[in-house]
Formats: sequence, structure tokens, C-alpha cells
Amino acid sequence: MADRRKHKERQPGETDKSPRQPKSAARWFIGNVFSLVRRHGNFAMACLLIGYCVNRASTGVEAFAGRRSLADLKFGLFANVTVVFTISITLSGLSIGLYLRERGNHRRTRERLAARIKELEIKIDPNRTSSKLTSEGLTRRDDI
Amino acid sequence: MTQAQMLVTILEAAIGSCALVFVTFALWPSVRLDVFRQQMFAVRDELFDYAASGKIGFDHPAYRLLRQSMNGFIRYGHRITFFQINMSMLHWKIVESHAPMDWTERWDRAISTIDDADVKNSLLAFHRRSIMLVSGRLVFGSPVLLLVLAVGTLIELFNLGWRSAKAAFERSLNRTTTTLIDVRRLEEEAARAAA
Repeated sequence: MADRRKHKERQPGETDKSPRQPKSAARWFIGNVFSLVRRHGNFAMACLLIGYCVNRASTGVEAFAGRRSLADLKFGLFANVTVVFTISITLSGLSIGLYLRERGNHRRTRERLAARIKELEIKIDPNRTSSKLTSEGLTRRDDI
Repeated sequence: MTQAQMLVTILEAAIGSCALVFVTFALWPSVRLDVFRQQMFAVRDELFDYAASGKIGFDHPAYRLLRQSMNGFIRYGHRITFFQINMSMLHWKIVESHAPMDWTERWDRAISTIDDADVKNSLLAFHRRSIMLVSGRLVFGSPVLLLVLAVGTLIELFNLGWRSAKAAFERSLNRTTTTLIDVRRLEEEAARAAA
């Protein structure tokens, strides 16, 4: 929403009431830091959390280093994987797989139907405005 | 617990945690965004059908402004989260000192030109519904706002004498959003983005 274009619907004779002050370099820099945090904060947070999980797990595994042989450990690992864990991982994996498949189907359906709807609506309202999503109904790369 | 059992528990916890992070930060937001856009498209379609029925012209400023704002919300729905809005607000405050907020003015002006009370009320209802969707997306995506909403709903329920839970919830949802975020600002940005 930071796109700062002028309104197309400005009334005749209406003037821009917003004299913009020139930005200093410091304001520009700090402002864009917030913009970057907004844009990539979610991804960075997810990476940090995954990194933390891996770090905790590796610290735990390190405690076993040198105490048992690799072959011994491999056998022990498979023998101790619980049924509950196997079932929950299988079910979660299946659910996520099914969801991703359905999501793909949904996108293809949207792509197929949206063009027809647009065509029909333009016949009724030739000045019809659009949300400017992609044909699959996704966010444009430039808008992220 | 044997060493192997401990190792397995560690690995199980690590795999489970990573999967949870993936679901929480990638899949769940994507579903919420799709739901929000779908609901906003539904309201926009209803507005189109309303105009197609001849009750208001497609070229009437109120119709065009409302559609413009909905288009903006659909396009930039991914940015309507508490975190993103706070970051955007900070960005706007630092980088742009005088951003005009004339969407609301133009909307009020356009609405006042409609003589038919039914049409006026219908358009206001469409507007209210779009704002409720935005509020819902904002509040239900943030644990902090959810907590505020829960407390607010309880207070509203007391105010209403434990009569209407739905009314208490809607009032609280509206209050939570308007207290913490300037909704006019969001509308302004949405309309600009879609222009």
C-alpha cells in the first residue's frame, strides 16, 4: 500500500493538499529499514525458529557423541521410533499433501473462471476496475 | 530411558517443531489470506450485482470509491496483519510527513449525494461489511489483538446485560481495530493502491 500514485478520481479543480517535505537521508534509511522488516520479518522469524530447533536438537545429539558406534545407534533409533509418532507424522504429512493438492486445484479453477467472469462483467460495466491479482488469484511479485 | 530412546525423543521433537513452524508461518497465513480474499470478492460481487440491478449507477462516485477500496484490500490483503501494519505505519510516519486522507471525505461526500435512503443504507452496509472483514483479518491473526478482543467482548457483554453475544462480539471487534489502528488510513492506502 506504499504505492504513492495520485488518485485517478481527483475532481476537476481539486488540488493536491499535501505538500511533501523533502526527505533527509537518515529518514529515508530508517523508513526503509521498517519497510524491509515488514517485508521479510515473517520469513526471518521462521528461519530463526527453525534454526533454534535444529540447534537445540544438535546440542542434545552432541551429548551422545563417542559413546556409541554409528551402527549400534542406527539400529537403536529405528527400534525406538514410537508408533504414535509414526502415525502422527504420516497423518500430518498426508493432510498437508492433500491440502496442497486441493490448493492447486482451487487455483486452477479460479484461473479458469475468473477470465469468464471478467469478460461478462465488462459487458455490463465497461469501466470495471480490477483487484490486479494474478490470473490464479495470487499476490503479484511487485506487491510483496 | 535408554540412550537410543532419548535420541529418538530429541529427533521427534525437532521434526515436530520444524513442521509446526512451517505450518504456522507458511501454510496457515496462506489459508487465512485466501479466505479473506474470497470473502472480500464475495462482497464485491454482491456490490456489482446490486449496481447491475439498477439501484445505483456503475459510474456513481460512491460505487466507484467502494469498489476501489475493496480492490485495494484484495490486492494488499497479505499486508493486513498487525505486524505488517505497524511496520508500514512506522515507515509512513518516518518517510512521509503529510499523507492526505481524503478517501473518507470523498466517500462521505459521495454518500451524501444519494437521495434514496435504502440505497444509501445498502451502500453503508457494504462498506461496513468490508471493514468487518478487514478487522477480522487483523484481529484473528494476532495473539495480542485476540486477547484484547476476548477481554473487550466480555466487557461489552456486561454492558449489554448478557443479552446479545453477537452484538458484543461485533462491537468489541470494531473497537479493538479502531482503538489500535486508524481504519481510515487503511482505506486511504487501499484506495490509492487500487487507483
